Amino acid sequence: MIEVVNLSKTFRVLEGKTGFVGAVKNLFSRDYRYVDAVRDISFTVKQGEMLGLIGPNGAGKSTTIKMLSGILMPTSGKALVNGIEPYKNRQENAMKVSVVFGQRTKLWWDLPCYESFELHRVMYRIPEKIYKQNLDEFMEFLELEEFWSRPVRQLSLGQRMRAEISVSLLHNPEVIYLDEPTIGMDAVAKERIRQFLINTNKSRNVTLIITSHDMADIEKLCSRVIIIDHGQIVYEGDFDEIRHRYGRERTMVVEFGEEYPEIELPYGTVIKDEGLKKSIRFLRDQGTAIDLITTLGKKYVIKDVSIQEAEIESIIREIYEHGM
Amino acid sequence: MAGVIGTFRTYTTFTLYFLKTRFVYRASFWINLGFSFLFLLMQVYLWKALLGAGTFTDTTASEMITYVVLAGVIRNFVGSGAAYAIEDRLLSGDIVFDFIRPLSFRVQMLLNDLGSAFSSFLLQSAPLLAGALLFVGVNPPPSLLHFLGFVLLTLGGLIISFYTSYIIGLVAFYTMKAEYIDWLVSTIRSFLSGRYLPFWLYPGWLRAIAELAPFKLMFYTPISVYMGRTPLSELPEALLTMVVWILILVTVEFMLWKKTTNRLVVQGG
Ligand SMILES: Nc1ncnc2c1ncn2[C@@H]1O[C@H](COP(=O)(O)OP(=O)(O)O)[C@@H](O)[C@H]1O
Ligand SMILES: [Mg+2]
Repeated sequence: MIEVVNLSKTFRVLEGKTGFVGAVKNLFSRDYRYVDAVRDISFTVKQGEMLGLIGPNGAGKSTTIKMLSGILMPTSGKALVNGIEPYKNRQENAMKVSVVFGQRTKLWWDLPCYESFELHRVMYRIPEKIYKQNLDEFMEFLELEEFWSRPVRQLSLGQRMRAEISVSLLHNPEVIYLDEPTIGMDAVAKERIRQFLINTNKSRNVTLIITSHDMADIEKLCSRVIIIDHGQIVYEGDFDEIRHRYGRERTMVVEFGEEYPEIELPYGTVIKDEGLKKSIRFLRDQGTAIDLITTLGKKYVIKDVSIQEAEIESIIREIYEHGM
Repeated sequence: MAGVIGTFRTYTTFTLYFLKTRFVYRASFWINLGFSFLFLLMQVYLWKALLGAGTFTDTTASEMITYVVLAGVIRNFVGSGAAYAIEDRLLSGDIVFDFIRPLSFRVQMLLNDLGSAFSSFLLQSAPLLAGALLFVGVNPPPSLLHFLGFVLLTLGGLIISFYTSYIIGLVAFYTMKAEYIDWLVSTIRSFLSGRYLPFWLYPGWLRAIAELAPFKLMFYTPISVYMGRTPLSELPEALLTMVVWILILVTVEFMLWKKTTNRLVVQGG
């Protein structure tokens, strides 16, 4: 239902001048810099799938979402969503999809929350029955009453995102694109959004395409992932497989009780040394975290230990180092 | 038919929402209104003083006062903020949402303008007009037809004002900034539209230029029809000129649209 073929986007950035004279010059200037944000990517998504698009900052995730949702015109290649090219048929496409940007709001900032829902109902010509049915469901699961008549600008990030996602689902879209939906939220708020997305995907068979640079988001939400880096797809497949094959790197942060300029490790390397606190990176095949800490504990005084989740950057590094 | 009604409802609701957001920031309401009144009174007394001394023999003080009051009222309808709105959306990146609504960008910008036109009519023009009628006096139009002509031409002026501002806004898709061009055009426009003075008081050369530009349809043409300065026999020609200008602007926009929006870049994530 979504087919992406050799999609590319190059931004042409004007080396802009400022001021009045600059503005006039800019009109005629040919002083451009080119940024290849997305390079020749192809993939397909089935109806009802939950696809994760992950990659570090600047990888090209948002740009991809903006082309898929019809906002940006690709430089080359094409995207087909429900048989149409979204950026060529924006209004037709808009009736069938939704986009949520974690860093922006489509809600009417100055008006009470419910006003945005009401406008959405009229704009998408949602039949009364469907509107009510959907709204009742969101009210129950996401407890919108809590802030229903408060101006949007007064909502917390988590509340706002609850409203944002609800309003985006009102017209029963077939696809919903979520660009960093949990960015900046605390753990509880994140979990709530994730749970709701999982339920929604199941009960409505809606296709979800989610971008994030938070591995935990994707791990909880998506069975299939695409990793992009520098605008290119570096991995496509099951999330489990990534964990099996690549999640080999572990980082352990150890806080010592005394200063040790040099520590002897059974395996792994110190990647960050902040005096008492040192970060040690090792591979899963080399040994376990328990063994490492037990060995260290025999020689040194240890106050605290924490293990960091594998981050997207380290997985990408592994992919480059070891191949697919 | 249901489609038409649906579209109409969407448009009116949207306009109403734009209007509502204008009402949120009402704090400056009294200040704005106070200034508008002061400015109007200043003009009124200026004209009384000038014309009392018989400076322009063919214009009476009450005519000039009618002109400035009407110009003050119309101002809110024909002062399009489209260029500014587009620039604002481009700079904030919120333009993304205008591209994923089931309404064209052009229509959304027009409804935004209508929202602010109606809100400023309610908050500004209506009280100003009431005040002027009570304390200063405004000449009535010679006939109902004159008045209808005035209303039609003002609506045309709104469309023309919108399209010029909107086209300037499209330039911002290239430069990210429309501010300077917008300012330049606004300045030229305030001369060529008859915002402060009717054309019959202009020197011949300026009047000749102003007659050629579309901006006269924003102030001068509608008001001079209202006042009977433009006879009814010339009304069809004025309306035709209006239609031709709208068609020209619509065509220009149509040609620019695809080129500009394909160049859209979005600031920020
Ligand atoms: N409007 C723009 N103009 C110029 N370059 C841009 C623009 N938007 C994004 N880019 C560049 O394109 C690349 C991909 O950006 P983006 O898609 O936002 O990445 P992500 O969402 O993965 O963080 C980055 O190098 C970014 O700087
Ligand atoms: Mg992004």
